Amino acid sequence: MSAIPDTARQSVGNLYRAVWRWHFYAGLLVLPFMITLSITGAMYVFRDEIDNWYHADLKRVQVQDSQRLAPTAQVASALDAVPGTAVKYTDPADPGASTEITVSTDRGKMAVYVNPYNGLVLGAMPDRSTIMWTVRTLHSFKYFGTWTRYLIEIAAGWSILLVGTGIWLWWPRGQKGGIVSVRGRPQRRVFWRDLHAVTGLFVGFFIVFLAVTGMPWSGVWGGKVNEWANGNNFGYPDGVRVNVPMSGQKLDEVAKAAWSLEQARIPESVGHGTPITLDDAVAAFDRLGLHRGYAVGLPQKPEGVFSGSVYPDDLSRQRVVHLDQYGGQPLLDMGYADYGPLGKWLEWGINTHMGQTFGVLNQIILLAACAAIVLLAVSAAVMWWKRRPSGSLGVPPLPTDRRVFRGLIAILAVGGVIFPLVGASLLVMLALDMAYVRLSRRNPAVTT
Amino acid sequence: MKSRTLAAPMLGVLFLGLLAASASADAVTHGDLLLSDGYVRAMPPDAPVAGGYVTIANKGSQDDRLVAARSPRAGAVQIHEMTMNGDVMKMRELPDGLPVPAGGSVELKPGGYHLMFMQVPTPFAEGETVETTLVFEKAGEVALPFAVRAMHAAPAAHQGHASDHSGH
Repeated sequence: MSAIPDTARQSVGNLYRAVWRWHFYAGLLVLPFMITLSITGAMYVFRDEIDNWYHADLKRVQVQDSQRLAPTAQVASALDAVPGTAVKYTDPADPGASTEITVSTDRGKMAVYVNPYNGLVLGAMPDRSTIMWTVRTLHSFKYFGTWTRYLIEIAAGWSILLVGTGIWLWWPRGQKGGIVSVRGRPQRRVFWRDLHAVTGLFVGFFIVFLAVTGMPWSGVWGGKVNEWANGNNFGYPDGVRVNVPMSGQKLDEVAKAAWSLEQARIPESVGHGTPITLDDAVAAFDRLGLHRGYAVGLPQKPEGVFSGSVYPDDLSRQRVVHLDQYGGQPLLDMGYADYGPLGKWLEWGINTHMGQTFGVLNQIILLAACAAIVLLAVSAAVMWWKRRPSGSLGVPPLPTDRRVFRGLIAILAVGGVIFPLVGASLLVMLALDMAYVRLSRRNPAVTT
Repeated sequence: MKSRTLAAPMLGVLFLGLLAASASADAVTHGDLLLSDGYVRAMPPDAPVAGGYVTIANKGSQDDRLVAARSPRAGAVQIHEMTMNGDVMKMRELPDGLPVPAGGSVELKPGGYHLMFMQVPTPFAEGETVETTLVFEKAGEVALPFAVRAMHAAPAAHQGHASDHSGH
């Protein structure tokens, strides 16, 4: 306990021990997640760059002066190579990008990449199987199933607890260093303690920010909040006029939607007669000023619509437009400006979490934060290893006065009510800790 | 099942390719080269490009190489290769052409090496013939007709479960 000055009063020592103990537990549980979240997150922040490099054969084309071919021609080319039903056309985001055409086949959806200048098919792969889609599902743990996503939600809650208790432990108590400087050499534990504390001080804000802005995606809390916040007006912001028939299909099933539009449903065409072509629809979307790189969900039924949607880095350009497949008129046209104040803040948080708000600076800051979080995890593990008595878990000692736990439990209770899954996990941990203490009393060999 | 996602449509194409190969076609002999069963697939109304296939046998003792192709019906004809790597299908141009080894043969077929007819102003229609000239490094130019065959039908023979539509 080198960090506690000898002059510290007994009560501070007791509280310190209690906080330290929970910081330790939280750290032990969250450490592996912090590392995977940081590594996958740091990669995902650069998703466009990495996907365009890793899948360059499919995603990039030589820029040509000639006009791009008509979308219908590109779709025909894609279907010639991969037979099935075209369900989505994704406009090339820049002159060097290929067109992505999503084809529903009897073996699932395929992403077919077409050179827009000459119509050649560059290749195809299962939809959402690019390296960055895989990284995204690893980041959310969706890769491993639905239930594993709950672990991430718990980890996010515990990481906030870690920052809170960590700052408390860092708080200067008269020591000569370890506030913004690092004492000692790597052989000594104090070096790792200081490295951990000082790094934590600087990166704590980012951990809380990322945990809070990541929560909207979580399985229990995020799912419920999304339903509650976006479950009205067919999933559109309150101000958006919805006066057309709605289908049961969600926009998110066709093209990945913004968080606030995950509940948004696709309207139905009201017209009759001869449908407009994809070329007409794309011309309409261009005329309406959708940001380049928009996705067009193609009508699959007589009452289907052309659904244009785009969620570019520039939040204010988020846009969803549904066109009647017969008349070609917009049935519903909404943008970022239509969100309420809460929705705007939330989308801003998500956008920043994903490194999109401040351009390259946003990406670099998040990359640095991720590197610092890995350093936090590593220094935590090393300092624990150096302190740990051989053959024991090395749980920090219990406070002599148990009353100090009350305040801590009160804080945990409040947090636990807001984030139920995190609260439940805290209760489990509390029970385990009590059982551990009892076991230790009966069998002194386990005592730390 | 993931690894088979792409295989089905590709198999469908391959299957039809085999059917097509079994039909007889005019063979053309040029020096040591025997070119047989040249055909292109009929184009859907909006399609900008079409695939062409042919079997080239080299009966001589000298390696040769298909280096270029052209057709009055197309603005450009490229030599392409399709490869599968796991679930990922890629098509790329072979800038150095395609070797035809001495005493061997090379088959341009759906799912492998093929010709791409580009900038086709009038889509190929079933029953037509498309005059095509193949250029070899040593044997020089060979003109032969490519029959236009029906587009591949939907690979109904391979309908499995319509599963995995969630796209997760």
